[in-house]
Parts: sequence; C-alpha cells; structure tokens
Amino acid sequence: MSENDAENRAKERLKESLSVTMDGQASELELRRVLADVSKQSSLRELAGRYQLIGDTLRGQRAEFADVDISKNVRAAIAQEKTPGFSSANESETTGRASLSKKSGSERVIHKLWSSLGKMAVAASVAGAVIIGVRHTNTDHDNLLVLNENEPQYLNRALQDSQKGNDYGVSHILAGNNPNHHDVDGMPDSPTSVRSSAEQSTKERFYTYALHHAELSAIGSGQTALLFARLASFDH
Amino acid sequence: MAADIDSDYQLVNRVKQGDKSAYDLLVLKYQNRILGLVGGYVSDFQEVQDVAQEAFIKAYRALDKFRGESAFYTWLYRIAVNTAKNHLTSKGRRLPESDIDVHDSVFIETIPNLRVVDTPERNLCCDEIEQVIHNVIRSLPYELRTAVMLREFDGLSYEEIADVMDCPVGTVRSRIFRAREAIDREVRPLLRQGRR
Repeated sequence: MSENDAENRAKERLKESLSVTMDGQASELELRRVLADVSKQSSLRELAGRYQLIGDTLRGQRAEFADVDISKNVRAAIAQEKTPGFSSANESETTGRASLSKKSGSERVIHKLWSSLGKMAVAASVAGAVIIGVRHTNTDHDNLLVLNENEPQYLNRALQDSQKGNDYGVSHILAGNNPNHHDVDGMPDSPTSVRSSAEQSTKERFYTYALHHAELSAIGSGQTALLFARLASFDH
Repeated sequence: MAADIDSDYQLVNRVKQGDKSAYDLLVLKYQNRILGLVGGYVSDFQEVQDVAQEAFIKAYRALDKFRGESAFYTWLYRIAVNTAKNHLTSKGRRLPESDIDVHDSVFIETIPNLRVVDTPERNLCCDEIEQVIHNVIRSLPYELRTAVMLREFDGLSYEEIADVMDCPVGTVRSRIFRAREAIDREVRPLLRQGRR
C-alpha cells in the first residue's frame, strides 16, 4: 500500500508542477522536469489542455472547441523539423534588439570590426590598469619599508612570521619560484634578500595574471571576472 | 497578463533550445483561441482545424524571428490571420471586409455570421462544460475559489496573490492546483465523451 501511496504522491506533485508551469511560475529546474514528462506522457498533455480550458472558461471564452485537440498533429509535423534558429547563448539577441541578420553584408563586417576593436581596447586598458596597480603597490611597499625602519612595531609581518616559522608562504615562494633559494625550512639570510625575492615573485605572478587576463578579455570569455577576483585576492 | 507573457517567453526560449515539448504546451495553451479565431474566417469545421494546424506549424518554423517585442499570442495571432486569409484566397473565397482585432478574437461568438457552423450537439457539449466549470467553482471552499479566480480572471502572479490572501506563495500554488483538480475531476468525463 505504501508504494502505491508514494506513487500517487509523486503523480500529484507532477500535476501540481504542471499547473505551476502553465501559470509561468515554475523555476527553471521544475520547468525542465515537467517538459521532460510532458514529452513522454499523453495524459499530462491532455491535463494541460484541460487546465487551459478551465482558465479560458473562467475568463469568459467559449469552449466550442473543447473536444478538439490539434496538438498531436502539430507535434507530428514539427517532429522532423529543425530547432528554430537560436541556442541559449544567443537569447539576449532575441529580446528587444535588432537582429544582426537584418543588416546588410557591409554593415555586418563593420559591426564585427568595431566589436573586435572594442574587445582589444578593453583588454589593453585592463592590462594597463593592472600594471599601474602593481607599480603603485610596489611604490607603497617601498614607503612601507621606510616606515618599517623608523617604527619597528610595523615591521614586515612576513619577516616576523618567517622568523617564527609562519611565513605566509614566503618560504614556499622562495622554494617554488626562485631557483636560488632551495632551503624551504631555512631562515632567510637577511630581511632585504627576503623582501627582494618575494617582490620579484610577486611581480612575476602579477604579470602572468595580467597577460592571461588580457588574453581572455580579448576572447570575451566569462573567465575574466574570476581572474580579476584572483588578482584582487592575491593582492591582499 | 504579465505572468502569462513571462510563461510564454519561458516556453519560447525552451523551444529555441531544442525542447519541442515546450511548443506542445504553447499549442495546448492557445489552440482553443486560434481555432476560434480561424473559425471567424473559415466556416468548414475540418478546414478550421487544418488551417489552425498550419498556423502553429508556420509559427514554429518562424520562431527564431520572434523577438519578444510583443506578446507571443499577438505574434501567433497575426500568423493565424494571414494563414486563414491565404487559405481563403487559395480556395477562391471572398475575404472578410475587416480583420478580427486580436483583443476581440476571444469574443468572436458575438459577431454575427462569423461563427463556425455549429451543430446542436456541439453547442450542447460546450454549454454543459461551461456549466459544470462554473458550478464547481461556486462550490469550492473560499480560499481555493479566491486563489484560482485571482489567477485566471485577474491574471495576478503567485506573489501578488500571496500578498492579497496574506499567505505564503507555496500555499497559493497548492490552492490553485487543488481548485483546478476539483474542476478537472468533473470536466474530464465530459471531454472523454466528445473528444476525437
């Protein structure tokens, strides 16, 4: 009996989802689930038709074709047809914007040219901003060193921690990125050499990120925002 | 209704992604109205169905040109009118003097001499179905009746109905479904008798 109950409850949930879908209130996941079942079950399609009939009647429409269902013939006719035009990636082009296909050939070429130029301009400006940011950071770091000399309590935390054994990854950077420093556990010879090695590694990583970011900006990939976040987190 | 327009866009976008069962739902949603509209141009019952089918197939093929700048039904309506007119022209029949306005298409039964040829049996079936639906609505508990009427008659979204009825959206969803189920239980046997 419990299996039957579970099956009935599942059917009820499915019918409720159909009801919600007909009202345009289903989530994307629910919509996909309902459509998958609608394609397999004729009883669900008939139910959808009856829900619509109920709504039409309540709105005062005459039910003179209540016993007619042309959906089966339409379904058979379009079964062999190709999917009309667009994929999900192009959805934004179909809502409220003029279609590229309406433009002439030369207009399309000009449009593509401007699009490429725009992307390159964005990539160049982003790369420039990152480089300026790195230089600015290094300048600030130099100022901080001056401060450090005058006020020992603001000594570079990385240096302090490296002396204590918690080096915020400086020794790792030294070991991983600087072939001249292989001693992962060893203490740096002097604060100056630690700082310059760390700075060098930092610069190298920043340039790598900036280049990669500029490349992806040019391609127009969705990864650009992620890289920016990585850049920002690395900066901090 | 804004929620209806959203529903159509949701389904249209699914069709464009290759999900033909979404188009099924669009056909089920609008076939009654399109049949009624075509019936204002074409008098033969079988021809009405053929022309309406053709209109839906044409609309499917042209779906990539649907920009979403108007409601889907408005766009579909224009295709159906053109299809009906082309059909009349191809049969050498006279076109009506003026087109049926999209907003009047649902009231086509009030326009004299433009209805599909009705049989007494068809009229009886139609009247009976309408009567049953209205009777069941009247007998529903207040909450279910209110929820389904706010949705079907006033076109409110679930959130708006939840505001009006001061209940969660999930409760609105459940009430509307239970109201429809109660009506469907009474309507289903009537349709089984008459459906082709």
